Amino acid sequence: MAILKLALSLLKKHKAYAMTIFCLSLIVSLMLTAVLTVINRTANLQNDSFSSSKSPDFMVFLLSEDYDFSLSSKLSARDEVKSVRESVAVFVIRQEILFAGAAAKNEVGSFGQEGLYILPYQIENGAFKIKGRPDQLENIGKGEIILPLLYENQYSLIEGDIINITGIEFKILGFFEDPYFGSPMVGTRRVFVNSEDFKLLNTTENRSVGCLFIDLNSQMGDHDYGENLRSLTSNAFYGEEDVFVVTKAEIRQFAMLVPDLVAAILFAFTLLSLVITLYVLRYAVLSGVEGNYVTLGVFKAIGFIGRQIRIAIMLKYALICAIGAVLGVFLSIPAIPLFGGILMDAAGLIWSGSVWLSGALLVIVAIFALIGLITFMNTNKIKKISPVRAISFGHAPVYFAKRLNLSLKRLSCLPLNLKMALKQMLTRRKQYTVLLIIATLLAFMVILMGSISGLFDNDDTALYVFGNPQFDFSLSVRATDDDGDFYQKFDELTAEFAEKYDAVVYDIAESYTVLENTRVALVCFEPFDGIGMIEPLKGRFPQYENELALSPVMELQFEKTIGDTVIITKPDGEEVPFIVVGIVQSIRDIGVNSTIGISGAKRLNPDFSASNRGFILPANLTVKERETIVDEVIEKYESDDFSVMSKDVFFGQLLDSIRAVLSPATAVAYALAVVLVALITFLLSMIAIYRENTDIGIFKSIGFTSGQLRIQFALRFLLISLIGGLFGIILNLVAGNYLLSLIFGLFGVPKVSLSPGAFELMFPVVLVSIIALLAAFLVSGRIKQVSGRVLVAE
Amino acid sequence: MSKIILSAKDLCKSYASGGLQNHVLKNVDFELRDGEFCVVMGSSGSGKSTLLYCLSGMDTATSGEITYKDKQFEKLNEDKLARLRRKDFGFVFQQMHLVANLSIFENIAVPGYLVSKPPKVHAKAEELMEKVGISALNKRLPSQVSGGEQQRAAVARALINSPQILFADEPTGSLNSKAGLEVLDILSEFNRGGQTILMVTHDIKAAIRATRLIYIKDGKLCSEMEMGLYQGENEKARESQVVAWLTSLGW
Repeated sequence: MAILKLALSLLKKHKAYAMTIFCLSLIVSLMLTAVLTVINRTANLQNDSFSSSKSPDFMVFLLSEDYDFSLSSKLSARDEVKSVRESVAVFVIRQEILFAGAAAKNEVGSFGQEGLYILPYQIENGAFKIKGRPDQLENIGKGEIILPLLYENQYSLIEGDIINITGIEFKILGFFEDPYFGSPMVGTRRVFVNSEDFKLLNTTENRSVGCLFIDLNSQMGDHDYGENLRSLTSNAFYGEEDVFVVTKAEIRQFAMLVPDLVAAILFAFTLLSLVITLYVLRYAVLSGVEGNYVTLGVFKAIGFIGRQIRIAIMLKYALICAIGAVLGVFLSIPAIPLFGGILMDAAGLIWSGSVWLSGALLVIVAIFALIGLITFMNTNKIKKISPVRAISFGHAPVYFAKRLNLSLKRLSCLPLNLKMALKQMLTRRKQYTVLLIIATLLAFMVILMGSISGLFDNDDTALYVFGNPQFDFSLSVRATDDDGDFYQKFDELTAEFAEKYDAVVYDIAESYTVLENTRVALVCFEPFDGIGMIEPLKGRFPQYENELALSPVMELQFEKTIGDTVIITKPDGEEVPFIVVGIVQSIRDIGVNSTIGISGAKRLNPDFSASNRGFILPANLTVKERETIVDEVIEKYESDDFSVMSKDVFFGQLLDSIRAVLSPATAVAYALAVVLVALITFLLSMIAIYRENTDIGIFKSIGFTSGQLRIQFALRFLLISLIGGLFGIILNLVAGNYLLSLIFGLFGVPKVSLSPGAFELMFPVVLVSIIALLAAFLVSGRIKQVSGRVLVAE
Repeated sequence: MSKIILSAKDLCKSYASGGLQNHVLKNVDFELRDGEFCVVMGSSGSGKSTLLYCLSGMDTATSGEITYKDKQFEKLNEDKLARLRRKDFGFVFQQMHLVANLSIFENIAVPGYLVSKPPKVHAKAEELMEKVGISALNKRLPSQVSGGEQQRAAVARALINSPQILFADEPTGSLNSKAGLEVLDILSEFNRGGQTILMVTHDIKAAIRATRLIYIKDGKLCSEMEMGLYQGENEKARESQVVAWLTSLGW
């Protein structure tokens, strides 16, 4: 009881300290609960969605015009296959899909990259969750269509808008959660219509595509599952032409890439906030002990033992923090759907769920325990307080550091207020180290966050990060047969564009191959120079037909490096050796990829001919001129035979969705930095004024006005946060790329180079400094209340 | 007779404490003349320090008028009072109150920066340090010098802007007798040079330096005694005179 009373009396004495620690604990708890809940829930949401939509372990699209389902029986015969379901989809190219977006505006456009797979909706084959509807969709009416969630925001569509597909009109019934193809990270899209409408579409001239939905015997999460899937997809399809295979495991990685990335960054930021809170608490505890030296001596004199006082102080802070943490958990309730919704949009999923109770409990207990521990450890000095010494002499003399202690004489050239601020700051460095470190860390994190966001603000840098070559538009052969005429025309068009627009041209092709008995995405380019490709991490790009570059992920997995030989297994079983000449990173297939030249592709298949070409327009063209040329090319050459796609169409959706997540995440980082700096400056200012009460009295007695002292006081915090911010910039320049590479390395791109501009570097520093200045100036209002009477010794 | 530079009329000062009004100064009338060394004496709690702080503009009176060179304190806001303190007044406190993180030289120079250009301030600071005998300590921090040296530095700081009046609140109260005498010698020296001083003290050794003594009891000025300028002679006689005066007042 006595300890509790002591705790309460200490609490009353330091209301401002308590309030700040309470706010910090609330913010950390709110952030931690929200981030942990979202991280915990997102994986489950994806699994639930896979499960309710009866998503198969992998899908096979049979793209040949004269496909048949003979593959189905071959697959069914395999031991690892549990079931194979056959279906038919209709593929419609984008030019044949028009919509009247956001009905009132009646804007007309078309969507998709290449086009869309249209399937009949049958509840028995899996039910989808529709946004805004509590139950899963049972049926789609005639003349109705459901679209993936992504399209709602992407094209400003609403329920009831009209979609025109090859002349047949459909009304949008809703937007569904597609766990397979709903993520912007996946290029394929599917939509569902009524079975009768589907039959009608299937009888038109649209392309019919065979679909196989395959489930494996192994259960999700089983150790064998991944191996089974890898071996099956590696071996079963490589011999098949015009087959597109997509596995649940791949989708799981692709779809969650952006949410996982952003959640990881915010989690790191939250942990940093926790560290900052603990550091600030440590400082507050130490200051409290120093400032109350006499009072604590009196408590000892009246019979309290050191441990009781320490427990009282520990209780004071731990209770405040626990209350803050509980409130933070409650406040996270409305924040979680908001945060989860933004992240899930980037995965094409609908957020559902509330606070993760175990996680929240863990957060509260962890905060309580950490705060208790830090407080207890930092009150050790109390053991040494002797009541007689404390009461007789007050606290020990304070010695100020001589190093860096510039004399006022040497600072003569500066204005008085700045001179005094600098002097106070330098001689009380220990007092301001807390703010310096915090400003450094916050500036570092905010600059990093801004830089990541900036990476994706620019199409070219984003392409670079993803390991894609640059392009303004691409030209690809759309026809599926091997009619030589198409390829001749393709070459003619290429030559025409290159000459007319002075464009750099390169061939590009992608497929899957079996490399070292593993299914690997194989990317073929030529030429490699001058197309804005990220430089190889090691070695060089392949130049000859027997050369190949591995991704860093593959380098690790295969334990092969430059100079080693790797084997590609051809469809007929022939093994073709390639020499590794470089390590080239690309985000494609989360790093499970390798790169060869066109000559290497021809070595594998003598008939190989790249069906896709990228065109880079001259660098001196303006954005407007580029857009004009691209529009002209698309209008003139887009046809049933050739697809011309602008960078915006190809990459826009993906970048928009990444930006849609990164922008709020960056805003959260900025807001958090502002709040943390404001709170911490508030606390430090209170402590400083409390400690410097006598000095303020002295300065007033010798003629300084309150206004001058307030300016000097606030200037100290401005200077220290500016210096901290500059350290943050240096830290960013030194370690930013390293940290970013660690984060992006998780997604197959271990080397990311940031070159933040002056604005990206300076803005966070200026923001943090201004907030510190304003907070300190606000608190310095207390200086007005200090009078020379504090100097009277009566 | 020299002119009056500071005066107070009907000065009252009360503090509210525990719901009760504590009247510390009661209708005090006071005048300070140019060049005099006025010492205010009284028992603890008599209100002498309060009088000093009210007269110096560090504290505000509850009622009454304080006039310094035609300026009425009650009409001056806090900033104007601060400007008055920086140029026209200097202070020496019982506890020295040097700023702990500034060197002795900086402590002396800082008020000067408010008024003059740094080179002039530095020259004046060096001159004052020489005069008070601490020129060797300029780079030391207050915690690294003795109490007497700190108080000498405080006197130099108070005089950096050549103030019209030097206010001293028990300047020897925290010092041993030797250091106390050294500080008093410095104050007397400056007074002989024309510096007006208003000092509050309990110390008879300090009181004998006065040209005029005032006795305050229960917030009222009840007696005063004129004395000649202290020249460092006849100390015993001056002390006897002061003791006799104090005895008559019930000291």
